[in-house]
Amino acid sequence: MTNGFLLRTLTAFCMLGLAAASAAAGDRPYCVTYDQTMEEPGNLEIAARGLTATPQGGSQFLSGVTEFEYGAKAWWTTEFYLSGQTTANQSTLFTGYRWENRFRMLTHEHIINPVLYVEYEDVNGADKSLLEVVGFDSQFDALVPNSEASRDREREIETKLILSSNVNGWNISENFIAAKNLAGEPWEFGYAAAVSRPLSLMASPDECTFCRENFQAGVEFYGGLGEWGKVTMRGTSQYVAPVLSWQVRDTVFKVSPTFGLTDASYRAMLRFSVQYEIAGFGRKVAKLFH
Amino acid sequence: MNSQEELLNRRLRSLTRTAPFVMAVAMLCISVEVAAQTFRSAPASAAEMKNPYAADAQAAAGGKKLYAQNCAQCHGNNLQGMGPAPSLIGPSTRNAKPGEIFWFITNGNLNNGMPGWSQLPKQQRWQIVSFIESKNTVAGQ
Repeated sequence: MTNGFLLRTLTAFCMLGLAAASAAAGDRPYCVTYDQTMEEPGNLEIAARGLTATPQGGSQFLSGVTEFEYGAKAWWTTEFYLSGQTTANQSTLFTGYRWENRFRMLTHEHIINPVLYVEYEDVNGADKSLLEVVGFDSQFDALVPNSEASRDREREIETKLILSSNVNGWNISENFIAAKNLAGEPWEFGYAAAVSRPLSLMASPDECTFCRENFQAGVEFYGGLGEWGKVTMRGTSQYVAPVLSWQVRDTVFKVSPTFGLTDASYRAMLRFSVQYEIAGFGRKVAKLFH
Repeated sequence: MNSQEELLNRRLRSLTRTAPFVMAVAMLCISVEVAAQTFRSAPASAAEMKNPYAADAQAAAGGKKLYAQNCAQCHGNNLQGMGPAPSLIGPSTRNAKPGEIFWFITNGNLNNGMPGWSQLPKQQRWQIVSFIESKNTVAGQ
């Protein structure tokens, strides 16, 4: 994959974002970690996420995920993902889909706010979206050629316990992940943790593009924790990733340079995304049928 | 008069004697309940919170921007309410304490479609309270 290709892709993401007219609200800058924020009821958020990395001894790839997140209730958010990837000197392919649901477990705000996450995914072995890291996921998994890896089908149930706190403008979130391949493989475990804060806690009185309240910065840590009967950090991938988000009018851009901490990890990755909401989507659709 | 009718009469007389007392107790309970009602079931402690940006026009202007971004899609651009989302202009909001409005913005009412907004820094939630109060002050004049 050439740098020109990457540049064109990034430009397309930015154009998509700038063209969007929507209502985004206080989204955290995280790319992997979930916090307690749910989608507002009736709103549809559409996001395009990208990730690029080069495994040691392999070819650079760019994975893309399109995400549709809908607020079914104030306490229930449901989300559908489509994913694909392109690998330099190999091919571009659709890798599968995911369907996730998040349920807020307590109705009021507490010091720690738990959210239960349940996901079903049906992807092939060529999927490189790395939406989470579990078990002994490794950069070397990406060395298998697309033609071979795509023949391998993975159907998984994934659960997360999301714990999240908002303290003095800071958000602190922890995710405990358990994933089970339905083909009978053991449970795999992982985690993600993050902390972030808006650059300004107060909103300025005027409309502005570059004011500090439009930016949020933080850092994420995530990685695998082995599998059932073999819970360990040895041989797993571990990452640290500064994160930054920028809200331009109603659209949110995120970028996260990610650094691997172990041999199994990619040495470096770049994540980026753009997202926008269609406010009152459910109401608008309902009107079509009345 | 047979014994059954006599029993019924005795019960009716007893009921007539106790009814005023029962009604008085019920009325007292209802009035206590009404007196204890707070804005959207906010706890009593919420009412004691003070808005650090009370009467701060700059803060309210920031709150107006935040309201447009986060609240207007349901409550309307002029706080008039839309569909199931109630109007934020009127006696209910005007009589509410700033702390109660802050509490409700923070916690929402998840079972009735109002999300909590704790992801906004508390300074911004207070700015929204300032904006809502400023609109109610104008409307109340």
